[in-house]
Parts: sequence; structure tokens; C-alpha cells
Amino acid sequence: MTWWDWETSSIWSQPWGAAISGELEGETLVLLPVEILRYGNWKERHPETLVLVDERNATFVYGHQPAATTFVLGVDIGGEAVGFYFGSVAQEEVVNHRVGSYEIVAWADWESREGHIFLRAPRKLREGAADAPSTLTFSASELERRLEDDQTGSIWDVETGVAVTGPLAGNVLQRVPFISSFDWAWQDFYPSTEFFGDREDRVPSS
Amino acid sequence: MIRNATATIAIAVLAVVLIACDERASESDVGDLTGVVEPFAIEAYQELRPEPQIRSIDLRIDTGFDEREKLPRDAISPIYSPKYVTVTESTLADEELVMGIDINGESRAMPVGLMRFREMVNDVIGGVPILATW
Repeated sequence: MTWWDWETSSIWSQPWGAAISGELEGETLVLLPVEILRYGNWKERHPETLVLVDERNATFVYGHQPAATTFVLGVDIGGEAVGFYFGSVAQEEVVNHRVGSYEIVAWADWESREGHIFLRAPRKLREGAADAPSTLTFSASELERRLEDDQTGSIWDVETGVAVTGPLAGNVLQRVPFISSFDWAWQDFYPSTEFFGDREDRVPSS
Repeated sequence: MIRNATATIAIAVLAVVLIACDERASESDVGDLTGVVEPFAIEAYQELRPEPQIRSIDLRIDTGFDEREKLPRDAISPIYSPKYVTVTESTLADEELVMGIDINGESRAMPVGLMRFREMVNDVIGGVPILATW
């Protein structure tokens, strides 16, 4: 998809977030993190959230988004692109990987359709937090919605990237924005992309 | 004998309390972290993607773009002045997918069903001018 801007009539590309034609050609927008998930899960964590409606106060009911197996979490950082198949990440729950020059950790939950990606390089959020190794490796914690790092056993919140208990409490991981996209669309815009996982992967419903 | 056992239990209980205190002390160094989030900093995201991988593209040749066939402005009607309701007012079903955005503690849920029709929402969230697109 492409957009116009009213100010200069330049043409912008949606996946790149960049103007590809016109006065602003070459200008880019900053990609920010956004979650695609079930409303029930979002409002539980954000009870103060506002909900978008149209001019008639309606929210179009589209029904369930089909759990497409060709759906990827597309990451474009450090000069490289990787499309993480949602089903593959959800199957493994926690994936330690590298994109370009960055070590990242991806987490996904099949049921809520929620995914989060962070850099694995912690930094101090709170004064008094302990010095952390420059790169951590993560696995799923026994606690729900928590990661555990192999190096210190500290427990991290999958949504905020904050180490909430353990030796590294008070450290935080930088969030990595991604684009939710069909794999073919992602490949179209990032022809040299790597893919993680397989489009057939999925988590069987319990 | 019984007195000794009591003493041992007392010491054991004391040890547990001490350990518990100790753990609490080390946790309290950084304070309570429940619900703590990192303050929003746009620079952090800028750094990750200094130069997006934009292929050189000729709209006419690569995408068959034809000036004469382009959609008129607002043919797909974007949202320029978004309207929101609270969780209590909303009739959206819990199973519906939304785009969840939180900037500087301000949260928005944009239903995917609505985004599919409108595709673009221009807004300011937490003081940051944003474009949400589907």
C-alpha cells in the first residue's frame, strides 16, 4: 500500500515507512511498537485504554482474524530483515535469534495472538540495579508471561521487557518494533529477508 | 529434649525470616517493579532502523502505477480526527483483534475490523504524532 501526504503530495510506502516519490523522497518515519492481539487481553492489561470507533460510534465487526500460518513478525533492524513465522515462535514460545548486528529474543502466544520482541542487551532502568552481562539468552519461565535468563535466572516480564525479580531486577530490554505481515508481502518488500520457522507451524488448540 | 527441639525450630524459623528479610532487602534496592515500563524515547527506535532497506523503485515500471488510474484522495477514507470510547462504553467483543498502542502511558485499541476498512488513523498519542496503518 502507498499513501499520500497532504502537505507535499509525496507518495509513501507503508512497509518501508518511507517516501518513495515526490518532494519528500527518501524521508523516513520512525516505526513504533504496536501489538496485534485480542481485545480482551489488551484491556485486561490496559484497563484505561481508549477504543477507536468510527463517526457513527461503530466498530465494524469483522469476526475472528483467521490464524493465518503465513503470518510473520517482520523485523528490519541493523541493516537486515527477518520474518519470524508467528506459529513457529508460538510453538517454541521463546526464540533467541540475531537480526543484522542485533541479538534479539522473540516471544509469542498462540491463544491471545500476542507477540513481543526485545534486544537481548539489558540496560539499567532503576538506579541500584546490578550490572548485567552484555548479552543474555532467554528461555520460558514456569511463571506465566515471564522469561528467564540462562545467565542469572532473573525473571523478565514479556510485555514490558523489565526484569522484575532476581539478580538483574531493575534492568530492562529495549523493545524491537515489528510489522505484522503475510510472508509473501514481507518478502516482496524485503527480497533478501531470512525467514525463521515454517509456515506450517502452529500450536494445536487444547 | 523437647526444649531443644523447640530451640532448633526457633532457630530454623529465625533463619528463614532472616533469609526472607535478606531477599526483600536486595529486591527493595530497585523498588517495586510491578507495572513499571521504560519511558518512551523515540531515539531508541530511530537507532534500530537508521536507514530502512528501501529498494530503488520505479512506480510506473515496478508496480504498474499509472497516474491516470490512481485513486483520488480519500477514496479509502482515512481517519483524521479519531473518536474513542472507554472500555465501559465499548461494545467490542473480547475475541476481536485490535492494534494495541501505548505511548507514555496513553493506551489505544484500534479494532482490526475497523482498520481494514479505514486503513489509516492520524492521531497524537502521549504527545507523539503517529500514523496507525493496516
